[in-house]
Amino acid sequence: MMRLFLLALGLMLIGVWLSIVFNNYVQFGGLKINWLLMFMLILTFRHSKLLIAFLGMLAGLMMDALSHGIIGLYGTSFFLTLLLIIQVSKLFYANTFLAVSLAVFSMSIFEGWISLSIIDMFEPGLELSTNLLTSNLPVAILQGLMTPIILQFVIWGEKLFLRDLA
Amino acid sequence: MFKFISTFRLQFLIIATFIGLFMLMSQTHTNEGTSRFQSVVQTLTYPLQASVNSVASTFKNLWNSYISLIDVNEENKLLRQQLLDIEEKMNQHIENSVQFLRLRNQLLFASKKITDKIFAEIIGESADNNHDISLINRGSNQLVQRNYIVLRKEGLVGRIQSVSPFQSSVQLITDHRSRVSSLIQRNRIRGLIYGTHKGLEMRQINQHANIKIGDRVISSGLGGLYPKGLLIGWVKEIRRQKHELFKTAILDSAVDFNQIEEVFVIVPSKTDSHLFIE
Repeated sequence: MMRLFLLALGLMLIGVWLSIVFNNYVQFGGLKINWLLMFMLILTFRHSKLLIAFLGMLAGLMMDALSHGIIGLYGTSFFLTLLLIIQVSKLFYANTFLAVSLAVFSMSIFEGWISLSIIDMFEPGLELSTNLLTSNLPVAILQGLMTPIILQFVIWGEKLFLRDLA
Repeated sequence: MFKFISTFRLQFLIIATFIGLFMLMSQTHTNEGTSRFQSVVQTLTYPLQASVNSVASTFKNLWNSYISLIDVNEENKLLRQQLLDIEEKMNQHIENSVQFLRLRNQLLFASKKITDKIFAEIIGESADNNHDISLINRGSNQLVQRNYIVLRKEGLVGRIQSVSPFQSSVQLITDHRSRVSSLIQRNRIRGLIYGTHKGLEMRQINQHANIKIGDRVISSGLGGLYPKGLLIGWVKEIRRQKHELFKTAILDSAVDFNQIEEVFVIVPSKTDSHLFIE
């Protein structure tokens, strides 16, 4: 459990680095990939531990601090999404690249919808449906396409840290 | 009771976490200032952002200098010719500028406001896609405060949203939460500039107002946050529907928000300081 915690923490820090540095220089169509969310989604799909959901919440709080002023917004959406994944992964097992890509795509949309709904609650004036279509959907597709690379990286991390579990 | 709690402790933990998160959200939203958590995270990430930005700028400058060496001979000949033309024009301009300076000094004397500008570099931007926020390398250590205005020579950029010791976040006027009271410079027709993430819209313009494509839009000074007369953009398109009370103008912003690298933070003079009290 401790090793998993360290692995998740390490991936979270890499996610933070990618979000604040990489995203400034590399954007696809002006859209920023949510690296923190991707790492947490993939890790939760593979391990389904509540610990990762709580770490995901911390990742969300960091995302809040690095983007706007309402602390807890992404914390809530990340936590809720990861809790849902823990429940969903009990129903079926899928660990192929395509399945995880599709799962990341759908869960990214879910997380985007949750976060945009909360933003809409606190900051009136946001066009929810427009944002879902023009920002959330393309980012979810991008994240789905990027999933195989990140999944490979996570598997490599697992082999390094959780040799007996991977 | 205790047994009930211990049986459902996991569920209790999850519910307590959600309640905690919502309380945190409500608190930070109501305060609208920089939370301690945000300040800590921004302070910790600042060295990384600043150093990477510095390295990237160095490489960019090196690359640009290499590119500029290509075709330098032909460019040199062309520039020599242009220089001759410019020298001739300059003589005329010197004469005009002497007159201009004399008149400007007279005008400035009448309406002098002492404001300091803090030069800042943009070192990052919002980590998400939903907010138009830029991070600058000046913070409370350089006396930057919340709600200070951020400008470029082209026009208005935004306002300081939150401050940490070494960096601050700037809410750009294109952010969906941003509102700037404005007017058409030509005929003083008022409206409200809304950020739409992709650009700017001037809304709440009287249905019968006479506005044209190409009209300059400036800040009106109403509301107290943004000073009067800052250039925001030009009218690009006018939308009106018969059933609506107001019409909307789509603007071309004066500042190219995709290209900005440096900005000025305006420190208000003491006589203006009442505008910035939260």
